[in-house]
Amino acid sequence: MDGSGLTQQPKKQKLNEERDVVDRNIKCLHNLPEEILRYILSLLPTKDAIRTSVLCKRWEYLWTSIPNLYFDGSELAKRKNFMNFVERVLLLRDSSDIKTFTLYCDVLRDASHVSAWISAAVRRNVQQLYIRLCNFREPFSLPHSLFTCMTLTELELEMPCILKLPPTICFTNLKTLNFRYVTFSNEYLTQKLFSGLPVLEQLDLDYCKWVNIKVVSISAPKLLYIGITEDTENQNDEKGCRVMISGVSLNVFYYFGEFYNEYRVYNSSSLVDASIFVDWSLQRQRQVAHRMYVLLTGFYRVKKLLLTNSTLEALTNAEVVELLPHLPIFKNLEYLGFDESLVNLDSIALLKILQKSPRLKRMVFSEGISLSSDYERNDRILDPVPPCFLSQLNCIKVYDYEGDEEELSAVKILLKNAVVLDKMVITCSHHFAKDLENLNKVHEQLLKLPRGSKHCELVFDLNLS
Amino acid sequence: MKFCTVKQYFDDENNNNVTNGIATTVIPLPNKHLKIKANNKEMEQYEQELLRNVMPQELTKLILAANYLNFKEALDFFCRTVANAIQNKSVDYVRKFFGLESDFEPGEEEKLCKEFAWSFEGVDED
Repeated sequence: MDGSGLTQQPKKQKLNEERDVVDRNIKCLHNLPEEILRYILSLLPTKDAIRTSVLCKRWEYLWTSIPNLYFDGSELAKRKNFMNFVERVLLLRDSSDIKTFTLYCDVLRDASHVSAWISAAVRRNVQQLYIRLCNFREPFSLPHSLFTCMTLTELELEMPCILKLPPTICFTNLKTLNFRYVTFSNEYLTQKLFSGLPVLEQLDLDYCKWVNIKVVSISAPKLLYIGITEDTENQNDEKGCRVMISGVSLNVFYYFGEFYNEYRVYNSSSLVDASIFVDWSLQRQRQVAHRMYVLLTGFYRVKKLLLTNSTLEALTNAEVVELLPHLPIFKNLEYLGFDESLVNLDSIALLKILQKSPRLKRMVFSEGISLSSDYERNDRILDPVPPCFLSQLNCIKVYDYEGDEEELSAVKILLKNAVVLDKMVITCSHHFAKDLENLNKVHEQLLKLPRGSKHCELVFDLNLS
Repeated sequence: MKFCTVKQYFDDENNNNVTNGIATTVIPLPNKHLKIKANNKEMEQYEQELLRNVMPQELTKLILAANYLNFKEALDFFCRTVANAIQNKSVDYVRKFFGLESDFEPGEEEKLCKEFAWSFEGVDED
């Protein structure tokens, strides 16, 4: 053994001992005051927070005041554990308020349990409730207390089954409401529901069904936004439901569907932004066209309108074409946009809408434009030329450009007639932007087109971002 | 910032070495925080650095200092750092992190794990 080694060891040991003493005096994280520990737990996902129960005796019930509970039981394999877990957590949780309660689960034959869990959240003054239920093997109803919950500000309910409504409905503080896949079946109570939303600002109805309901009136005085996405499955009722929407405060309207139901927006003086995306099949064109027309007539004050090519095609149905000249003047319309698919400029509906939009400043074709290259006929597409083309229209944007004849013809007719145009922006499709050979040729073609507006700038965007 | 409470804190604290350590980390924090408040990515990097350089015991001191100084943003930041550090980690890891030892009777811990079995799915191995 080395002499120096012998003398060094005891010295080292002494240093370590000293450090241990100091270490014990320095506070460990677990000595933090309880409120801070609880705060840390409230920042954790539910699973992690509750696992701390196992750390030691002091921590066994520390988690019981966490304000946000998130339960996702989508994985059916672990169902028994999940059900036990939720039961236990709700049993042990203290009486402090719950802020956010999220529950995603298959109901199967546990309807009473699920209902009780939601009840427990309501009892603890929940503010934001997110529920997604599916797979009902027995009748299910939400607890009545949910419908009179005074603390609820946000409710998201996804429940592909009939919504059983209680006699008393009063959502005093509800600001955001989203129903998905819900079936409304009682006309009287459904009407009560949609009349008892005094401070609601945002309403989303996605894939909901109206069964045995002829008319319903949605009159929420503070409603700013309404979005309706219709169920694409064929509904039993031929006529569907007439949904009357009072737009006293309404700013934004969004619709996507096939008009299985009829929608009307009245008192819409504050409506600024409307989007109507429609899908339709040949046998239903007449109904779709009528309902489309009715809806459009309520939007005469909007500043921004988003449509699709299908919308235009639907409106060219024989009966409705007669009505087009009777469309109101869209006196505030400044922005007209098209989404979803290519727009065929040879559309009488488009011409009529443009003729009724004296203050239109911008047009955007997000999926491109086309016009058959029949030179003789094309000159008559914009005949008579809409007034906005002569005095207001200053910007047109065309996307998804690939340089075909049809696209070129369409751009040609627009450039020719928009005599106060400042800018025409043509953006290439990602696919075409790689065709370096033809890009220049196409750019040249576009630059050569005659422009009705002397100061018009043509921007050719390669869409490289 | 709150200079009087800062001075008071220094006067109260007995161990000068520890105080100096805190001073170099906590005091520059308001400025740094204000600068990088908007930028989430930078905060994340700063958080990683903090975790690497600062032992859990030091983190305790930082949290207590922020709490005493009533510095909400710093307290929130440090607490989130702790929460992120223990997320999805095993029970043993978390015990070590907090400096805890189990004081359950044999079988008690097992019982709790069974009751909350669903929350133990997919936890990181040590």
